[in-house]
Amino acid sequence: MRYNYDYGYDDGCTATMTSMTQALRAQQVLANAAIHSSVIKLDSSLAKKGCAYGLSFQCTQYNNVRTILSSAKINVRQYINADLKL
Amino acid sequence: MIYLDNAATTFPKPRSVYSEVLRCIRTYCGNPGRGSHKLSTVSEQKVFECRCEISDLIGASSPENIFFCENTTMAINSVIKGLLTEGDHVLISDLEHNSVFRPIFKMAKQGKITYDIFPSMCLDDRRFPSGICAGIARLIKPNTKLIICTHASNICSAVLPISEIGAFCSRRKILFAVDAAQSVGHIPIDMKKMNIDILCAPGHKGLYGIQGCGFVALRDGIMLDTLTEGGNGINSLEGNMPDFSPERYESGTLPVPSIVGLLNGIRAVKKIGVCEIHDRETQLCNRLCEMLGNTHGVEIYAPQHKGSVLLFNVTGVPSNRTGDILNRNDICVRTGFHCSALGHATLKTPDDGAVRVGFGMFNTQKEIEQLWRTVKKITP
Repeated sequence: MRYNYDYGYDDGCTATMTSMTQALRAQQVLANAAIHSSVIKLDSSLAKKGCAYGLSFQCTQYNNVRTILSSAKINVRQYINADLKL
Repeated sequence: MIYLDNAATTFPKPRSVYSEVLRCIRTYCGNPGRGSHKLSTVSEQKVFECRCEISDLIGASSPENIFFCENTTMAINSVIKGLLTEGDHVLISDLEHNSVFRPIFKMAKQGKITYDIFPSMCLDDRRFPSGICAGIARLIKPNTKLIICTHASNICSAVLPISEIGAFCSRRKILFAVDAAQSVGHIPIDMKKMNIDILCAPGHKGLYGIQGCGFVALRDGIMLDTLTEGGNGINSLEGNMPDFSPERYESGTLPVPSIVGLLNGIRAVKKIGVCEIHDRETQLCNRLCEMLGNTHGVEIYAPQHKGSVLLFNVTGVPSNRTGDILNRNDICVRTGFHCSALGHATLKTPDDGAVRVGFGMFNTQKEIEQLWRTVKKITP
C-alpha cells in the first residue's frame, strides 16, 4: 500500500517512473488533460534499485493515462494497481 | 548608487525574486527529490517549475533536458569534459570567455584534444553570417566533434550568428554548444529553431535570479559523461549514475533558494519580454555610445555593435583608474580583462584592458548621462 498526500493510503493505480522529474512532468501532462494525479515515493518492493517515484491516479483513468503519457513520450516503467497487476 | 555591471551579475533583482527566495528559506526549503514529505515535494515542485520556465524560454525540447549546476562555468565544463574524448577537434570563436577557453586549452595542453579559433569578424564592417560560417568551414577537420562559442560577447555587444552556425553544424553533423551567459534574457533564444544542441547559461545575469545556479539545456538524445557522481535521490542502491537527464548530472543537494530565485526572475523577464528588454538596453547603449563617441579622448571598442555591453577607455588613463574614479562617484562598472583574453586580443584593447559598462533592465537614461558626465571630467 502506498501513501499519497492527497488521499492518504490508497488503492488506486500507479505509474512507476524513472525519476521524480519524470513523475512531475507526467503529472503536469495529465493535469493539462484534467486528470488528477499525485507523485508518490514507491515502496521498496517496487524500487529494487532503491529510491524511486511514481504517479498515483484513479484506475478508471488507466486507459487515458496510458495513452496521454505515451503520446507525450514519457517513459513509464510499469503500471500497477493495488494487487501489483495491470 | 548607479549599477552598470550587469554583465557580471544583474542588480537589483525584481522584488518577486527577493520575496520568494526568503519565503523559500523560511517556509519550504526541503531537499528536493530526497523524500516524500511535504517540504521535499514542495521544493521538488519548484525546481520542476523552474525547469519548465527555462525550457519554455529557450525553446528546449523538454523540461527534463535542463539540468542545474553552480554557474555557467560549471555548465560549460560539464559539457566540454562530458563530451570530448581523446583525439577530438574543437572550434571556438575569438571572443570566448575563459570559461570556454581555459578548459579547452587545458585539454589541448594535456594532448587529449586539438582546437582552432574561428574569427568572429566583429571589427569587420562587411561582417555577414555567411562569411563567419565560411571561416568556420575552412577550419573543420574530419575529427571535429564540437563547435562551442559564445552567443553574445561579454566585452562588447557583438553577437555571433548562432542560427547560421547551428544550421551549418546540423548539415555537417557536428555538435553545437552555445555559451549564453550574456544573451539569455537579453536576446531571444530558440534552441530548436537555432539548431543548438547544448546551451549553457547563468541564473543570476539576464534572468535576474540570485547567484548560485546556472544550467545546461540538452537536445533530446545527447548524453554527456558525468563530471561529478554522488547521491541524487534515485536508484540509491546502484553504483552507476542514472542514464537519464536531469538526475544523471545533478549529484548532491540542489541550491533550491537560487533555483526559486531564478524561477521568479524568469517570470519577471517574461512579463516584460526579452525583446522589450533588448530594445531598452540597446537604446541605452546607443545613447551612451553617441555621448562618449562625441567626447574627445574616449575610445570605444567595436562601437558598431549595440546591445547590453559597451567597452571603452579614456585616452591616457588606465582602465582601473577610470573604474576607481567612477566608483568614488557611486558608479559601478568593471575594468580590466573581464576573463576574456581572446576577446580583448580580438578588440585590440591596451595592456591594462578597458572599462566595461553592462546594462540591465532597471537602468535609465539619467544614469547613463550621469556616467557620461563623470567620464567627461577625466578626459584629457
